[in-house]
This record gives sequence, C-alpha cells and structure tokens, in this order.
Amino acid sequence: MADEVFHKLKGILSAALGVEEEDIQLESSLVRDLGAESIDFIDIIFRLEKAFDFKIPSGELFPGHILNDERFVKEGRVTPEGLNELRARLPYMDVESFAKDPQVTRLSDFFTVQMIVRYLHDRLAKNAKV
Amino acid sequence: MTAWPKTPKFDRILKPGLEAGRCTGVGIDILARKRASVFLRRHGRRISGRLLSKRERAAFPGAKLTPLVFSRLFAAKEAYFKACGGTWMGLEGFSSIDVEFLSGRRFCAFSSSIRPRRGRTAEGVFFGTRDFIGAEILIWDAPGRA
Repeated sequence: MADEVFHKLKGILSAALGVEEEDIQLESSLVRDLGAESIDFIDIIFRLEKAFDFKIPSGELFPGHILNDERFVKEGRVTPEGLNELRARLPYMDVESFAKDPQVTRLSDFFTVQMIVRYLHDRLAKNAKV
Repeated sequence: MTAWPKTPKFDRILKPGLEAGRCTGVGIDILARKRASVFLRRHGRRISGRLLSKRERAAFPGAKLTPLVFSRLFAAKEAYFKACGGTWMGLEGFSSIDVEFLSGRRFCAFSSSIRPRRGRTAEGVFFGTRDFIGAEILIWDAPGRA
C-alpha cells in the first residue's frame, strides 16, 4: 500500500512542482530538493484532497502557526516547548533530526516526500477502519 | 510624533491623545500572474473556502475572484506573513489574514490570530509588471497613550 501511495504521490508532486517523477525520492525535501514554494504547498494539499477523496484539515499536514507563535520561537529558533508542539502536531515529520539545530528557517527542509507518504498512509488506514 | 499614513483604517485607529508606535515588521512577496491563473482555474472553489477570510469571501464571490484579485490577495497575505517573521503560514494562516483593498494600489491587512498580538495591523502597496504581482507591507505597533 505504501508503494502504491508513493507512486500516486509522485504523479501529484510531478504535476504540481514541474519536476520529473524519477527525481522524486522518499527522502526528497519539498523545498530544498524539489523547489516548492508556499503556493505549491497549497496546490499539493488541494491535489491530494482530490486524488484521495478526503479533506486535509487546516494545520494537519503542513501546520503553520507553530512558526509564528512567540511561545514557540525565540530569536529564530524553535524552543523546547515549540519542539514538543511540533512532535504533537507533526507526528509524520522527523522532528528529532530537526531538533539537533532547530532554526526556524530549516524547518521546511524537513517537509519531505516521506512525511506526506506517512500522513497519507495513516489517513487511508483510519478511513478504512471507518 | 510619527506621521501616520492617511487611510480609512488608520484614521479610525488614530485618535487625539494617542501616539504612533514603531514599525515592527516589513514584508514583501511576488507571484507570477500565470502561476496564479492556473492555480485559480484548478482550485477556484477550494481557494475561496480555505484561503480567504470571511469578509474577503463576501467581497469577492465567484467570478469576482479574478486572477488579478487572487494574485493581490495572495501576495498581500504572504507579505504580511513575512513581516511577522514567518516562513510557511499554513492554510489557517491564509484565512486568518484579512486584506482590504484601499484606493489606488494601497491595501491594509489584519490578522486576528497570528502572534504577536501587538502590531498586527498593517498597510502596504501593490506593484507589478505584466508578468508579476507584488505586495510590500509595513506592520506597526498599536498606538499607545501619549
């Protein structure tokens, strides 16, 4: 199932970002490796909703408010409290690797293809139970 | 005393005996018109429901959300967000920012949810070419007692 999801996701990312499918790897960062910008994140969310026929609630896949909350970010770095918030809000992301040098500007590097695959896998499993 | 821009929104904020605050953020964003048009054509209904504020949805229903209007709203929200020091604001961030077009190329913006709470009212101006739309914005501290 994960392979099937990854295959479908590659098609979506290729169309949204204008990159070749063979350049899309599980560990690819959407921003650093595939050149995604903010409008692309939204495009990807909407395309995923259409392709998988479920709604992705605000803040679930790529939450934004954590980065703009003065409780969670101090002097350009995510605080320990912010890291805990990330762990809770972004269970699909590799927060532990990010935590080694938690500069806010690095966070989007950790929005990877793998992260979306994990999210989709989880959502599809939950939907199947329902 | 700092000279305040004369716009309806700031005129409402400024009252006798109040002192202007300081600029707390500057933001700028540009968006390719073609990219915006394709995006709008593909996701029109979702854009209105998920990215626009309640007031914006009322102001730009259906066909009134043209590529130019969408480009300006998007660039203004992104610029606002950058002025707050943010990088990616999430869908909830977009819909929480309310952009109001003023006369000419000016606009003001407001967010009810982005922290810090102070200095969340902003004023900006649009610029652009045939290919790009841009927005630059300044955020000010709320005025305090003189």
